[in-house]
Amino acid sequence: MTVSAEPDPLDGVPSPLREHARFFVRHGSGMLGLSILLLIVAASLAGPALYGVDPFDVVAAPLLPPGTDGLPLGSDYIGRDILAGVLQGGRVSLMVGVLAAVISMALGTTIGSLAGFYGGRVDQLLMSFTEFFQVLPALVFAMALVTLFSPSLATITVVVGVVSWTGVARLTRAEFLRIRELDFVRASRAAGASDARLIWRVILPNAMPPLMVAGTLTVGIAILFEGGLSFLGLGDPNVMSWGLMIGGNRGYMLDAWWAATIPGAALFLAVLSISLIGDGLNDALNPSLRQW
Amino acid sequence: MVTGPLFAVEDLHVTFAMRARSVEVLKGVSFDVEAGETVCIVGESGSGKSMTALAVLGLVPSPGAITGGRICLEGRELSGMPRKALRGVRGAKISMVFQEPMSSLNPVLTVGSQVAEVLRQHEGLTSKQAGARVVDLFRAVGIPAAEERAAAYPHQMSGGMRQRVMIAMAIACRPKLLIADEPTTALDVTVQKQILQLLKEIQKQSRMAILLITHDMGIVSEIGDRVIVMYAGRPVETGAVSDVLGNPRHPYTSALIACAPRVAAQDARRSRLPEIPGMVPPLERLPRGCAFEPRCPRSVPACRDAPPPYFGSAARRVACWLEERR
Repeated sequence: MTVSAEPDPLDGVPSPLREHARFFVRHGSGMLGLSILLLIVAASLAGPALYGVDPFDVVAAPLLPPGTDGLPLGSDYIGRDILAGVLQGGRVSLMVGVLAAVISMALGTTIGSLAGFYGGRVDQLLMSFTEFFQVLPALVFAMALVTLFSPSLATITVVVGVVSWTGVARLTRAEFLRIRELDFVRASRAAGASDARLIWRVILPNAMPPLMVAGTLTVGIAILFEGGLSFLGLGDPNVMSWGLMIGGNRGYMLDAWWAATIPGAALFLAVLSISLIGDGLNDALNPSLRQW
Repeated sequence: MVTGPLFAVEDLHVTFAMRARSVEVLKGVSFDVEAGETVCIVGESGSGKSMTALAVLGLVPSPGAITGGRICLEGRELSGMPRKALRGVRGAKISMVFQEPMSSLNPVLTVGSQVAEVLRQHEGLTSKQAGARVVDLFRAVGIPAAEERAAAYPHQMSGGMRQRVMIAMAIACRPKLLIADEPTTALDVTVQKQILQLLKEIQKQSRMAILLITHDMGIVSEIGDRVIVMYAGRPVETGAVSDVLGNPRHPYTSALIACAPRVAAQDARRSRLPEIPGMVPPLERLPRGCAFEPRCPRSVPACRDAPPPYFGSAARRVACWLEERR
């Protein structure tokens, strides 16, 4: 070919993903959140085995303050080890939180992307369906569902996912409505791309930044939901969780503040760390907010 | 053996149906393109030239729709083809290069994988085979360091390089017809020249037909074999580039040629750049007669009564009442 090309000076520029990662690493509060979360994850994964106390065993007199009788965090209203409960409860909260968020994201992105991509009738139908879920008060709806089925970890996870997908669906739809009009979507269509390919390979990857943020925040919301249900006694009674501990010990707040406050603080820290990560991701994935 | 032209559009109509009224944006567009030939469509914004390109690929945006006419490639009619079959034509037999190289590539995928995707879809190549072909294609369109460039993201490339990627993608499946919608408008003048040369070079090697949409008469004279001048959704003059540019017969064509800036003209230094007075009329309020009549310097009473039919032969058609007296 005789055509000469202009020189291009851009070499070794990192990929968008690596660039986002670099910005996240420099994001102070985002990294703080990530550190806290990693600590919680490590503690709840390795903790129960290392500590070796069954959270349901009665090991001491009830309502002992932290530090007494070899119990680092004291005992609850029937003499169970609070540290063992907090460690074990972390597993449940995190697992339910992540799985419910996955369910919620899967439902939300599927419904939102179909509605946004096809528009018209499909959009109307799917958005009416979404609104039906949105008008139901989420906690009441979740309580009704859990009582309808037996309260087990699996049902709680699914229920929390089912009541929290509507925001994701709306967000996905909005992103699809915006992106589907862009030139590169038209160009892909002109190159013969099928609808499925346009949705999955072309539009969805471009909608990912806000969805990743939403997904992260959904984990926090799901953890709170699980805590709320357990607090109300609608959790799985055979599994120690933070919500169950707060609910059980709340009657003794005046005599033994630590029994309900410590699992509460754990829950607070977990949700806070996830929110901080979400904020950090939002800044890192949104180029216009970056501080140069 | 297929007889007749490689690609033919006959009496194409596109209408946008809005709630209360409908607007016909293409009213009877006919032309054909032979293998190895470059046909240019020129006209102002709103003349329907880009809509013609989209209609050919079956991509008229809603609420618009093709409401009449035929589009045939190698004797096969495309309009009314099932969606799946049409997808097999798009990008493979007819491909398109868009105006904006900056926004026509997916920003989150590497340029190489985007070109590979077209190959995998239409030719069923494995990713490895497709990857090798991508590097060949990048070399063929003059992208330096093709292997490394294939792993680059669109934002890491200049506009000219991205347009080369778009061209690589468009010629990946050796299409019979390449539609280029203002492929150089967004580029620097020097890069424009390179891209046009590249298109010519590719055409010479593959006998691909090119349908080039532009508003720039300079590009038409440089690359075109035949030209279609469009105004308000209808071709007003068609013919060989040398005939039409050398001896324009429709007043609109003359006006367009007069508007093209000329660097070499001696007396152009201080004179004002000529322009066509007025604007393309809104398509829902076209005059009853010739659409160009309100802006035409040579209009006669007959122009106001009815739109002009085509005069002349198939090789040189003009839609102007002035032709009636010749």
